[in-house]
Amino acid sequence: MDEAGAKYDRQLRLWGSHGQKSLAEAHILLLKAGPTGTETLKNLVLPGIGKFTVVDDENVGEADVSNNFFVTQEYLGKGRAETTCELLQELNPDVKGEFVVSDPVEFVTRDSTVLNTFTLVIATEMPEQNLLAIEEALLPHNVPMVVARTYGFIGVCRIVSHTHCVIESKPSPEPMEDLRIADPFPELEAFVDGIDLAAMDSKDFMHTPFVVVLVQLMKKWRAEHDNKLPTTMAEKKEFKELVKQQARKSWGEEENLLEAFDKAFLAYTPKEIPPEVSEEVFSHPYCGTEALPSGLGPFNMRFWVLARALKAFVEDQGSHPKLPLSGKLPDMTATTGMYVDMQRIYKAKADADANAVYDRCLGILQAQGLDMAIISREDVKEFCKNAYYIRVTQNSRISDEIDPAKVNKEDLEMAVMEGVGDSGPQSPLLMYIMLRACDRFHSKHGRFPGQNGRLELADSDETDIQLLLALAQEIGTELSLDSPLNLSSDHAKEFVRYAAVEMHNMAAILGGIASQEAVKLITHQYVVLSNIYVFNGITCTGASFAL
Amino acid sequence: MTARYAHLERSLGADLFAQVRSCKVLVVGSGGIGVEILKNLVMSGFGDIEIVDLDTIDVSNLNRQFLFRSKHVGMSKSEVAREVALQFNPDAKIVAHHGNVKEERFGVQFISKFDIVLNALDNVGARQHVNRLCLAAKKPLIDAGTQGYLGQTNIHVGRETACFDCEPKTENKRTFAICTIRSTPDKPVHCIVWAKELFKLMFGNAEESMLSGTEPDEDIADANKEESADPDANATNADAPSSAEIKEDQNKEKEIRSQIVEAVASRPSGDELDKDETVRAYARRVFDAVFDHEIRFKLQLRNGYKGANKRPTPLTFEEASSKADEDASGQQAGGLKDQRIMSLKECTDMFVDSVVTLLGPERRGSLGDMVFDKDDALTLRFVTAASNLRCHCFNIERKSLWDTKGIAGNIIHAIATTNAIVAGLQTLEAIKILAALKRVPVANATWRAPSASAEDTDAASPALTANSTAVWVAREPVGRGYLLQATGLPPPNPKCFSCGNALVTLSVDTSKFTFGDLIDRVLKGRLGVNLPSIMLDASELYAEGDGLDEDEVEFFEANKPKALADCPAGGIKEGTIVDVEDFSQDMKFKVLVHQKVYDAEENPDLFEVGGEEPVAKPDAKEDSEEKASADKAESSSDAPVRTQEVEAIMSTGKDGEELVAVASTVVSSSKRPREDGEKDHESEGSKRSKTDDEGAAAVVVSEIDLAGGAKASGDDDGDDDDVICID
Repeated sequence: MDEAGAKYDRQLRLWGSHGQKSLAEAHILLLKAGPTGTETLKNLVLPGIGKFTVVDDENVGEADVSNNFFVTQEYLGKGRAETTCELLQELNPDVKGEFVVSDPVEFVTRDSTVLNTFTLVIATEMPEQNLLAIEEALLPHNVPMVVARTYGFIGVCRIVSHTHCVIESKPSPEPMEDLRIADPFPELEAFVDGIDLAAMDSKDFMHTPFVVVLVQLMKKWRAEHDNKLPTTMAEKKEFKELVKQQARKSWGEEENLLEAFDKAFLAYTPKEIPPEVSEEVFSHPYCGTEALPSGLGPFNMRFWVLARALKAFVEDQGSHPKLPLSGKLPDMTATTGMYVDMQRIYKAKADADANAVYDRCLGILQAQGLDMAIISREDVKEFCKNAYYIRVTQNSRISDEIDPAKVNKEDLEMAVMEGVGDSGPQSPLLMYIMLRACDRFHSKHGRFPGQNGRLELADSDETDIQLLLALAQEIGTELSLDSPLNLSSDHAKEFVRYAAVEMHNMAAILGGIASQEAVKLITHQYVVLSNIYVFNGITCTGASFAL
Repeated sequence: MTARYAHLERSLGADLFAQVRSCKVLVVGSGGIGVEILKNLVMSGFGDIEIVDLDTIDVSNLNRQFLFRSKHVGMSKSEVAREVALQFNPDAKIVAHHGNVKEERFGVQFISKFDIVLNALDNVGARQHVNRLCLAAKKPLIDAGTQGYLGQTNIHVGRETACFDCEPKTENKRTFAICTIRSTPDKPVHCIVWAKELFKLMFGNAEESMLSGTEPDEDIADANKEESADPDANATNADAPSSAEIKEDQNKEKEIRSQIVEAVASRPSGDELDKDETVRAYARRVFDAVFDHEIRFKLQLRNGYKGANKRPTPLTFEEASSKADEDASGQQAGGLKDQRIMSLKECTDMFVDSVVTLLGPERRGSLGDMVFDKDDALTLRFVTAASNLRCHCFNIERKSLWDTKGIAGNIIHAIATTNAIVAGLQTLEAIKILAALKRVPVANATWRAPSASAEDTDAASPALTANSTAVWVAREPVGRGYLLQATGLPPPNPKCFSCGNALVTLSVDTSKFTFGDLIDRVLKGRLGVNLPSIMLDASELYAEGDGLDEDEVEFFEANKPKALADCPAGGIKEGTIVDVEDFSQDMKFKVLVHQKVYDAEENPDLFEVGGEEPVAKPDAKEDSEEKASADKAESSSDAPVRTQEVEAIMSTGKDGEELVAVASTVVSSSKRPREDGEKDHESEGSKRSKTDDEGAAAVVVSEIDLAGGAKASGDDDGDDDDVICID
């Protein structure tokens, strides 16, 4: 085993060598090198991203030494960007690190062409106003962003990604393969028709795959029932009884019949195209006929060409269209000969389906004037295997989230109603509102509430507490929710006490969460968080909001 | 206080922060989770830390164990971790111990010097052991485990909350019926286990290999039993062979087995080993014996492969050597070389070549002692080749070298992100526990009683853990909140033998199950006992550890092969109560034995362990309670703090005083959240096993539960090469 294979062994087993390749090609931009930022980046440097760039304009202070693991005493007074870049790079010689001493907002707005070179942006220590500016700058380049923030015992992770496509959503537990028992394709039907169960001796009979048994029985059923599948409970029960009647020995001795009985539902439930595919993917604007925008990036470009080809494949089938067959045959009781025959039939059908999708891909690539080489036959096979599980997620923009007229009111109302985990005053939703209020405070006063250099709360903090509470209530009013938010001065007091400090330990937790989402975004595997995750470290409760 | 800790003082409060600086913390394990904890502790101001780890650094640790670099490979984990962490906070005092936490020097007395213990371990056995030490020493334990994207943290406070053993860990072994391995494999893992057994037969301790016996296979023997049990069924079943035929089959089966053993034993020796051709011919003989002859002969038997899903096809050496180009697919774009599925010819060549090298001058010295090691490329090649050839015969999908390594070595996924999350949560919990333990006024009273939940909790609400939660880490949010889901801490399980002094009930066939099985498979394997001593009616049947004289050892060893019912002092039978004690864990419990015969198909373990509440409280319980209150009088800070006391302490806290973890917000359900445990290739084989003979033995492969729950392992370093094979 080579060195990289050995070093990354435990993660390769999770996301595969293609996932590792995506990581190795990724260039991450970190905006602000505080503890939340460096902890997030640490968890990406270790598994081997290709490159990172740290942008920060501060110098190392005492606070950094105490809460940031990637800053030590001897760097006091030096640049934070330079220091953290150096120490982070030590983690993994495979990773290239760069730093730029600059204000992050200035960096992303100054020269927007540079933004194209980044795979993902991680923004930390960022008040709302700055985030808006960064989001605006990133939008035309389609670069996703993960916002990570810790504020005392509260943490937030926010995904900003216009359209995120996933081929391997890896549903868990793994769903049953599509075996086409309810709607056999001609080759399968011909194979099944060629088997004469009645002529078999009992030994061969008990080694006949359940698929054969079910297809034959369903054919018989349809012939007797006006070509209809069982639909009512009674009919389904009747069909299952039919399976039982096939037994030649006492029930239970023939394992293939037990399997057929267990899986009888497959015979009357044709596998449908899931709405995540038929609606969210197929009706996405990129799945139309217009030219795909050039700034999509290679993965998305491939995805949409493949999705269009898949859509064409489905549409060309007329009524009762099917997604391509995966070709996988689960283990079942069978003679070796019959199992191998069936394997061959399913694989041939899967290959034929994949070829049909591939042909349509070529047509689309040609029509779009794209390089024919960007999609290989293997890509198509892999895509077809995952056809049921391809996903497109669209996260809202921060500018919409903070606009009471555009925010996802439905989810917000639902969150208030749910009380989110029954945690009352500790509800992550209230923590979210308080953080928004802190940002509003910051934009008004140029500092966060409680930031006054003292170690403990004092009477003079009372002003901040009142101001902060008023801002939080103001936000509540703007949102004009059906039920009032249960905010009290205790909430304000707590956030004033935090004075925007980042505790290392909270930064470590948020760094873990944010980097996990980053890996999902980079590898295009698994489903990413829907917008916002708020974590309350006091109660260890968290909640996600699709705002 | 220097500016260095200003933010911590502000967040935690001066009093609590002072406790953080001075308290003594033990971290057990410095792998993936351990180094994260160590970093978090040091960065959170903890000033007095000790770490224990027995491992040395491996290259596969570097993707997440960030304190280690490639120059550290081969060095002690705990010592390197200490050295590196100190560079980042020279103020902290860190003591590193390179050793196994099960050693005597880390006993109850050692644990007693700490305020809090954090587990960062990779195997259930060690976690159970530390749990018992903490119970004995009355120290709070903060446990955690991860697997891939899944993880979990838990708080165990002696006899106030559930301990680690309160939820029985039954899933830490993966068991296959021996018959599944020997004749009816239907998963790659079955063939891999078989290949490891073949390795043992050829190069290791052959006697311990389950392929070494010549007795007929269970499905053959079983047919016989069925017949005698139900002669009528036979009469109506035209397929069933007569008893004479079965006898004949059994003899043939025996003959086949002897042929395999003979083929293996026909190994060249002395100078012959230097002749390449001779050794190759030997490899070929073994090849034909196991992949061709055995299968060919057995197919001719009436009941051969009766239980198999699919009947196998024999594979001759000649045929295999010629199949170079058949579908050796599965190669991923950009995949590593080792991730490729090899063709039959490649497997055959690899089989022969690895036999030649294993018998070559460098290795032959350890013939008879060799053990499979997933990190030993040569042994891995042998096992991969042999298992793939067997997969081919049984029409099971073949596996790459890389996948085989994962399955054969029980490799658990491990990534930096999940470790970071659980270690962060553990450190957070450590601070909360510390606040309660040291009675630091942390609460702002109005903040503290936010909802009914804190008040509603019954009066016996454990004080130390009033603010603590167990947390489950999911791969992606389920519903609204469950990326991290906090749950309340369950109370101790009265049926727990570790903290509840309950009886352990053991159901087993006492006429067959041996005393040695009781020690190895039940007490050590299932119940995590370290050094058991076993008493039956005041006679000592078994003990281990130092200070035993030869006669004793001889007597104890002589008991091991005996069936339970045949043990001295009247034997262990239905209704017998056995006393078990482990001084190293300061634990004592009783085992109540029930006679029960198991069907190996349903329960390949052939035993079941349950808990039963003691009818009358045993004396030990009262003792321990007395002892607890005595302890409390002597050193109150160590004794559990009562609820009322904490209420009082908390309400004396100054208004505006800092808080850490005030609200005891117990999330709605204390039930374990639904967790769609990641299913992967390692979970293979959990499916039904096929043997009908209750007398069949089982193969046990250590494995960590995949559901990512309380049973989830810590980091992955417990990759376990051992296949425990019990005949």
